[in-house]
Amino acid sequence: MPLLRNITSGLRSLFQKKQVDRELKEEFSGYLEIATQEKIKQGMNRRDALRSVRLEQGNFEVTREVVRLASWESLVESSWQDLRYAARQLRANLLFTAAAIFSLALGIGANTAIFQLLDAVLLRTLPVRNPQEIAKVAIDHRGSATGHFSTRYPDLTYAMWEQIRKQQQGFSEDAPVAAFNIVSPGYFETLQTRILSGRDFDDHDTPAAPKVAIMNEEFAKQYAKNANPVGMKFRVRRLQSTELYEIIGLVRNTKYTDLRENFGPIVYTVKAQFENPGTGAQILVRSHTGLVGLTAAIKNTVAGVNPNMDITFSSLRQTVEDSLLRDRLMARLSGFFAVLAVVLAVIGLYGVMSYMVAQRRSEIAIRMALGAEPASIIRLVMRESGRLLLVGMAIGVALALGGGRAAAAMLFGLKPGDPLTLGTALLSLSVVAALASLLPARRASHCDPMTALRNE
Amino acid sequence: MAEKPGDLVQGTLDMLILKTLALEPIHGYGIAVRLEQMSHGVFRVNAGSLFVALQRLQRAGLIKGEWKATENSRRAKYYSLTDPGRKRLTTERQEWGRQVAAIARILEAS
Repeated sequence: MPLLRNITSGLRSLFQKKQVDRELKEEFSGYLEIATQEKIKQGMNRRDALRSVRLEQGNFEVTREVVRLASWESLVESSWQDLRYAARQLRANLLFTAAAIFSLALGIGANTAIFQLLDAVLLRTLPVRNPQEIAKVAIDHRGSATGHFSTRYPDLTYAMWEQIRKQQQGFSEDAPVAAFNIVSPGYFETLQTRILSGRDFDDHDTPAAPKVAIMNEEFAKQYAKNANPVGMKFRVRRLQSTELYEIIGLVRNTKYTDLRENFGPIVYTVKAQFENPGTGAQILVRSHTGLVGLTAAIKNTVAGVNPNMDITFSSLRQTVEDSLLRDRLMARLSGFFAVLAVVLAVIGLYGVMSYMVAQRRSEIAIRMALGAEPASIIRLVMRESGRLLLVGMAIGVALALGGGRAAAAMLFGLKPGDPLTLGTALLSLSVVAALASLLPARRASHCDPMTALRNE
Repeated sequence: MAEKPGDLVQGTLDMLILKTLALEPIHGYGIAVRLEQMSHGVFRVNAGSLFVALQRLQRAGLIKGEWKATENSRRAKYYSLTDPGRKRLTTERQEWGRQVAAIARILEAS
């Protein structure tokens, strides 16, 4: 209840200022009048009595200020005045204001970009478990007979793969489209892809046995309506056969061709059931002993079977790194420019801020000559710089969010508008801005007023 | 205790105003005069401090103000205690008594 009364009373004196003032004035002048009457009763003449009362009680303006300052709404009022003053000042120094705000905005934007890139490029780990243990062996040349095999993404796929596309002829509109993958038993174990339901391929899945397939989660989500697909049967139209495949397993989603892609539906079939699986193959090897000895051993064995066969090795980690090459290059480049931008912004901010303070030296000198304390001068300057900082920050944050979104589209794993990143950027630039106004303000407040005024 | 109300123990001005209003509603000048009389001229409150205190007490709901005619038919704002104000006065008096006694005990201890 008292709180409510306090608020309504405060609001009243904010919005009905004139009336509240009039009441206070009436009360005050009544007070003075009675006091004067008392003094006259005690034998003073009216003029002396008035004079004495005024000396004792002060004038109305002072009293009104004292009463007003004691209430919470005076804070609201003075903040509003501060804001209006700030706006006026910003208008008066339009060019410098623009320069300062632009520096701030640039700084915040660039700073944010740097932190985001650092986060994306340096701090991220590879999205594969124990990638150093996995190697990919690609057979790229099988002697003169078959020639070179290459896919659209030679680095990231490990086997011959095909995309089943919608074909206009005889395909219904909702014919499922999935990546089609021919693998051998143990494939999921090597890549440590978890089998969520059903089983892996095994040696019983021969050409004579019923055709079998394994689906990933995304396939189940899109075409089996999230139900467990194990046991369902389908046909592959692209193979132009009527043979039914039975789904025997459900595996976790994996990235198929690119780290940036979203998970897509994948169908895995077993190599043993394909008489002619194509001309190229990639073999994945996981070893706990390290790749160096292993590659030599594999090369020897392969040479023993067919000396004409060329094989190349690459570790999965290397493959992943290579696929991120463009991202990393982009990140380094924009990181470099962002550092440059921050340096420029810091220099600009410092220059503008300190120039603005330096311009006010004579004003500061007059204030000092009138008895202002150095501390209050510094407070004054800091408060005004603070306002500028706030405006610049608002614009800078908007820029950073916009720019971050654009960058996120180009780079893998970038989070636009990460609060920690933004906060760090804001904090570091605030420190710069504070220093840029504190140092000149200190200098100005410690110099001799007369020297400063004479230099004008 | 000094002459200026600013030197009053923090919060005592409010209590003293409540006390002067306990008997009957009076206007601002009346409060100042009564404080001065009752303290034998020790406390002199000027208009500024008094109005601040009155505003504070009003907002806290401890007193309320009403415009009335004075004896020589001028308009003046008369303040009176509300029920919460009366209760507050009682508790403040008790608390004050306790503190004064405690302070006295400390000062008299040898």
